[in-house]
Amino acid sequence: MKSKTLSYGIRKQRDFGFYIFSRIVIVITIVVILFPILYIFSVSLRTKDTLYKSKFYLIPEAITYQNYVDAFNYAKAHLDVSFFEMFRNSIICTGVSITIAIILSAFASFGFSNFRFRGKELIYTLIIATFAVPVQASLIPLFFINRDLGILNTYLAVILPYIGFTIPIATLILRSFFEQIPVEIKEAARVDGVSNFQMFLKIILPLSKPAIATCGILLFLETWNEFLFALIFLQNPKIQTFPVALAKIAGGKYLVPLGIYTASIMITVIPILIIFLIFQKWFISGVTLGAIKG
Amino acid sequence: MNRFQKFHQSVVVPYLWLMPALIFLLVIVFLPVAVSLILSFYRFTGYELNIFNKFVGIYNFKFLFHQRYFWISLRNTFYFVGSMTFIQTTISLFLAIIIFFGNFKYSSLIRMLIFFPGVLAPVSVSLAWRKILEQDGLINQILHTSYPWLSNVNLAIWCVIFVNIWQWVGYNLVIFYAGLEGINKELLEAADIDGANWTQKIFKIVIPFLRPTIFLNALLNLIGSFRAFDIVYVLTGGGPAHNSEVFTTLMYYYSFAPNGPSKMGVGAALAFVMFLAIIAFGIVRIKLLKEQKV
Amino acid sequence: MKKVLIWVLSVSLLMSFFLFSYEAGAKEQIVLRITDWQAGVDNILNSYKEFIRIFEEKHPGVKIKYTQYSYTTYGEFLKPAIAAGTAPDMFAVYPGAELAKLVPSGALVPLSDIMDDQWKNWLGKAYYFNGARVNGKLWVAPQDAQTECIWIYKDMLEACGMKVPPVGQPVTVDDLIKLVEPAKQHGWDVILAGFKDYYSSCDAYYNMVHQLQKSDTPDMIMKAFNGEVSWQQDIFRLPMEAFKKMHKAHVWREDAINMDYQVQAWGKWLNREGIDIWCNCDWFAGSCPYEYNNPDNPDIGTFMYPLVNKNATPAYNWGFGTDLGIYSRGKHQDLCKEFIRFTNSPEGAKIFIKNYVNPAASGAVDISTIPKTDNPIFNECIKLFSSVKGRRSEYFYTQADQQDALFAGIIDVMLGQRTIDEVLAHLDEVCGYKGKK
Repeated sequence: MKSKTLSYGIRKQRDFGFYIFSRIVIVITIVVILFPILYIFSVSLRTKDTLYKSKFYLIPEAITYQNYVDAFNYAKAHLDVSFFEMFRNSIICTGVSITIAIILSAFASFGFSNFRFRGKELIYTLIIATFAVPVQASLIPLFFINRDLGILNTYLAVILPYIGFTIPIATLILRSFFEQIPVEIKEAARVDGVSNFQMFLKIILPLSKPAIATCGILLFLETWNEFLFALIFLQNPKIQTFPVALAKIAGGKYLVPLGIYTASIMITVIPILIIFLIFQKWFISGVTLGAIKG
Repeated sequence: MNRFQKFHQSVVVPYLWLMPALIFLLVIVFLPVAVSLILSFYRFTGYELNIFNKFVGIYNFKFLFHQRYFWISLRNTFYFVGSMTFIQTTISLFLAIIIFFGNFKYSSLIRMLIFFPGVLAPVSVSLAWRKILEQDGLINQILHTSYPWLSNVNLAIWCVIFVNIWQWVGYNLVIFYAGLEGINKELLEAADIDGANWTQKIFKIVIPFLRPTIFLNALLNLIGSFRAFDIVYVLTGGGPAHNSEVFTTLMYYYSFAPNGPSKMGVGAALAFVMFLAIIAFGIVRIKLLKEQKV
Repeated sequence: MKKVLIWVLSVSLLMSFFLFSYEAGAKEQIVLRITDWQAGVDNILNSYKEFIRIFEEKHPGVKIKYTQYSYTTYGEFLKPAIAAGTAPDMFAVYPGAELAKLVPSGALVPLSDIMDDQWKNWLGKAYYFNGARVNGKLWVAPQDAQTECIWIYKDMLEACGMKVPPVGQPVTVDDLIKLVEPAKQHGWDVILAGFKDYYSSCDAYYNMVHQLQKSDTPDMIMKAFNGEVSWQQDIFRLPMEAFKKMHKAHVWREDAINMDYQVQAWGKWLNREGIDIWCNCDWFAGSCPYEYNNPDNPDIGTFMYPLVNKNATPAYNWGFGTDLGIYSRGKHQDLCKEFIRFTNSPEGAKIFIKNYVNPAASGAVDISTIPKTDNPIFNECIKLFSSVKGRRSEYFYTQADQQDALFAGIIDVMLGQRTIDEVLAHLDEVCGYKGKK
């Protein structure tokens, strides 16, 4: 209903042209956006005989789940890692880094929003500027730092950079949210004589649940799909996250049959698709909120 | 409060809150970037235990600027970043305006559909598009040709740019749409009564209103596109004979690629050049932004 | 406060659980690790399984773990392992430029210093293998020998109107180009190649230069890489023109520029999408599907590298594929030395032959005397290596930067991005040629 009141109507005759134009544009856009993934999905469902048929149809002639089974077996046999392990690794890397990043950013944001001290804005700008630094610039030194610390090829090698690179955004969002909390609540708490830490824990944090959720979504998007650091720092197949493992399957040792290729892609697409469908409002509002605050 | 307590309250405590986040940023971002510059003065392959063995001064920079691949990747990075900043922003702005003013029944569904590629891993996206764009892939089947899109020296980078826009246009779209929701309807209706046509309405009212959002999206695209690695690496691997390299992939080629020259010093030099480039871009952009705000 | 502490504790517990579950526990036994890049070659796998079995019987308390990687993933594994100091006790290094990049790091034990004379005799000419020598020392021990040439589907070739040429009489580049039209009718490529790696370009280039040389020695490529002769002469120009001609005529698909050899080109050849594939012998004898490689239906034949022109002398690329080295920071170097010595011994050579691998130790066994096996490709490989009716062509060189420049040059010439003259002049610069042209 919102869109109806906001959108600009088609009351007048000459708006008919715009009506047609807008419909055509949007239809073309939707087709271009959806077709690739739907195509890959339909190819992944094809049986062996119809697999290489040239016709570019979407509805497959014969459906089979065999390709997915093959993909699972292929991964286990040739890559030393099964899809389950892959996702488990991704969950660990993402989960741990998001959690720690949010905790640390919450501390920092509280520090920014609650106190006045010299150099506050300078440090804040510094933190935000980090967002603009290309992550690849620190790749080589981090490689050797990790090597000398002995954590290369472990989860930590990836988790630590993820934390480092997501702290700026989280701090940005959380700080603006903290500052929006009405001053009266803070003052009332002060009068009651709470310490800083209690204020943080019992008052600010519970009120910030939406902001934390937003942070969670944004950081999740940043780290879940991350490829470069995982590629270089995670050599042991058993701890590789799914982007790296997927690249190895589809672009790796042997020329992978089309069925397994497409099925592997879909195996990595479907979970995130489901999560997106369930939480879509959160994703979109998270992105917009994050951007607006920036 | 006495002096000490004042100091404690206004300096020590705040910094205590900031400390964890700051330490992470220092170690993960600032330190490596600084070390990267130092590393670029040495020659090392990454095989040695002591990487500071051979000091070569600015030889790595000289070598880098002497390489044809560097200038090719500079051109490509320029195309890539420029396209993201200008073309992608424009396309998403165009789509946002159409959806907003088009009075679509399922406008939020449409926006969700266009946004959805942004949650997929760039690795999955590029693997899917690689299959579609290859010599016996979908596009060639539809067009009944056998054109090697991804192996054409000039077209390869534009294929990459196209796929990247395909993935991220929804991201910008969603932000623009949120911005549009705050537009002043009365102004638009007044313009309508005055008999303004579409071009006038859009260019004189809507776009000026959206100016901050446009800059925001352009900035986000700028920063994001500098970081792009996955999409280039998986789609073309740097392209036919390094003709679609961008800075990030070229750096990977020089430092970590197994069939590359293993000249990590040159990689570090390139990383530093990248860092300078984004600072230069950033300064230009912030200057423009400041002028606009004033 | 409590909640936070519990959170932090559980998170760190979670972290430490996963972190420490991957640390290698201290073991009572000695475990030696060997790695190489021959994944997919069952013959080599089986040979090593037998070596390991015999060695473990001789040394109770020693276990050997052998892992095969693919060529592309091997580098990603090895480099960080060496850099981190956790490389395997013995590892294979790809000969030539890769070895040259590795040696300065001090990760390998110089084998020529610790080999005894009998071992050197066993290796025979393999001891002087250029690709395993850097700065005058031998750093890795060749394991298997190979002759590199082109392999074809005989039936597909004949379907395009060309008879399979007898060994020693290769076709010319122009003949290959004539095949393009008939092949296209059938929907095939003439040659399947992958130009992302060196094989498809540099190896053939070296072969063509050796075809045009006056005789086997001196090795003109070696001289050129060392800057002793200029690149700007016909012997180096004609092969480049040949490549350009073949690319323009679509002898291989345009996509080939961006394909890698071992996965994509090879996979497509197994799918019968092209007539020819350039290939080594050893891993082919082990990885070719049985349907094409059995005594009843030997549908695969050898095909030499095409002659640049009718005046060229046929040449064969010969070399040694897997070469094992000892990690200089390993703890059990004596055991490693014994193991590798064993693989180069006559007994080791017999095991290799039994598993259809051509042993490098040509001084340990005379392979021309071994009986015919039931693996036709293997038989061809042995025949080629032991009785070549042409010129031997080296194709492993250790000058990394120069090879990179040559490789880039060939590709740029094919793509039309640089002229041949520009490339040759640039090569002179890179190789440090200072004389007259």
